[in-house]
Amino acid sequence: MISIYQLFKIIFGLVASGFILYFLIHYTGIYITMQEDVMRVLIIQNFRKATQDVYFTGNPINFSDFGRLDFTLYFDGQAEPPVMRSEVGEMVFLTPMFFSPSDEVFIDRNHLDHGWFKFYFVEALPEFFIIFNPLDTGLWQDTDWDLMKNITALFPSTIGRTPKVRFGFCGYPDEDNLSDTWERYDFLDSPSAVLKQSHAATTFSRCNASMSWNQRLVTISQSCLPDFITQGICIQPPDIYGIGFAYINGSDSSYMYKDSLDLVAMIIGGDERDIYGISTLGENLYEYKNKIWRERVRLASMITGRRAQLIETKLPADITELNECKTLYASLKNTLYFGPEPVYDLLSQQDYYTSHNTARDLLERLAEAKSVYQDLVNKGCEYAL
Amino acid sequence: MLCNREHILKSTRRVSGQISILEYALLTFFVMVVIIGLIIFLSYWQVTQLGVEETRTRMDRALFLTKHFLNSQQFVKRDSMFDDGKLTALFSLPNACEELQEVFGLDWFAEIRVLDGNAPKECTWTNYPDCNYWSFCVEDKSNRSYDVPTNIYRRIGYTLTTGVLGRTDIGILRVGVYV
Repeated sequence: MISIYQLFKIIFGLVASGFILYFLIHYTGIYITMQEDVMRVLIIQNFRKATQDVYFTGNPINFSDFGRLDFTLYFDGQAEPPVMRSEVGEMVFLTPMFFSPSDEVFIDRNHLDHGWFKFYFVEALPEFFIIFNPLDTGLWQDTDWDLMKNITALFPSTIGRTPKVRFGFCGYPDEDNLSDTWERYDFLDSPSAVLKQSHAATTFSRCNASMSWNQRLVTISQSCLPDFITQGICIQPPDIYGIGFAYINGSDSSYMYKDSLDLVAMIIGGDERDIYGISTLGENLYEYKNKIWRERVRLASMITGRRAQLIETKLPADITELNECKTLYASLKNTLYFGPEPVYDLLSQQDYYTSHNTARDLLERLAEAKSVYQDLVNKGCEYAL
Repeated sequence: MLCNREHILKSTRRVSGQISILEYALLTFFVMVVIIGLIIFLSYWQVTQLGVEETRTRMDRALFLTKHFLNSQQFVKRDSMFDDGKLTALFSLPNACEELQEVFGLDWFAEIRVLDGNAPKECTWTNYPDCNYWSFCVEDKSNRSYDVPTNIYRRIGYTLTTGVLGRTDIGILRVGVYV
């Protein structure tokens, strides 16, 4: 028969073991959660460093650390400064970046060339399919295909890399047909590229195929309106000033574009709602692009314009060979900063990317500045960027 | 006598039982102390790591700003080669620091100095190009910074009878964050 002492030992052992086990399991659970959060922060930091390295060097890389843990990522470009929000807080991202979250992304750098300034930016994209659906025929067909070329040129080339960014068509020969897809080299860059083929006899129907999360349907049509499409983006070809309008599925607003990066930002964002449910990711990236592009180009126009005036005044007056340079510097300084209606003042207006008149004037000034700077380079007064 | 012996045996058993109970209690107590000590140590370690992480974050930001300055077309002719005209155009603005803070954020500074053996002479609109020093957002605060060698392109380097030639000087870039 069991003694009282032995009974005491059993009961005391059970109570003490239970207490210790509970304490250990409880703390281990907290510790595991804490360490996972620490790992998430480290991974986001590594991603930020990777985007910075690509931005500075131009060497593309593949980043796959997001696949190690579950993430809920949202790049809030409209915050001041831009931040990456996640379940572990937010982290500042100053590098101009267009990001679509996934376990594995390909990071590459591209730029908009203004002649006197290059606006560099980074694209961090998962496996992506850009599906074009050009609906115009006749005279507008060439404009549609030029637009497709300009859009494709701003996406990364992923030859020999992963994940892939590929391009294709929908709506030919029938509305449900999705064509083969090609990488950028075979779609745009090579001598026998798809976009360089003759397309006069090709008539597309409106695409009816459903798109997955990493496919972006890009409809190009003169008839684009808010309710014209049921998925993706719809782009009206640009007018004679190079300005057009685009529409995102699920949004009643029209978005004015003045360069291809406006469209690329909307395409990368897509028509999915953001975490707040207020606007689409495409709209958010479009607003971000205009904010950050304005910041950088406005600063650059001020610096380059003032530099042009500085050099114009400091070049020796008695050397007649420099007179042409002085004239060109005077033109450049006025176009960029000193006026009338210089690039700097136009970019200082909040509605520069929503007002057709302001955007038209801005594009004219930018083209003028690019031409003047090229003249400066051709005459040996300046260096090419 | 027999009763005494039994009494002694009973007492002995009681005492040894009590000692065994005490052994268990002591053992459990020490195990708990070790576990709690381990938890406190791990928590202290995490807090210490946070301090180290804060310093690392500051240095990472300083390094990022350094790389940005060395590559940003607003300041350079090409990577790691500043354009003295751009630097002077920006430095001569009264609100240069505020303009740059809109792009790079707050609590940082940058200095560029030409290593020409002369005393630092700030570049202004009037003394350009006879100058050798530019600074942005410099304040008298404790900071962590990086110093890196760099090149500086002098647009009006040599003046000849038929034109003006550029020149490249060696300099030092210092970029830091305030702590």
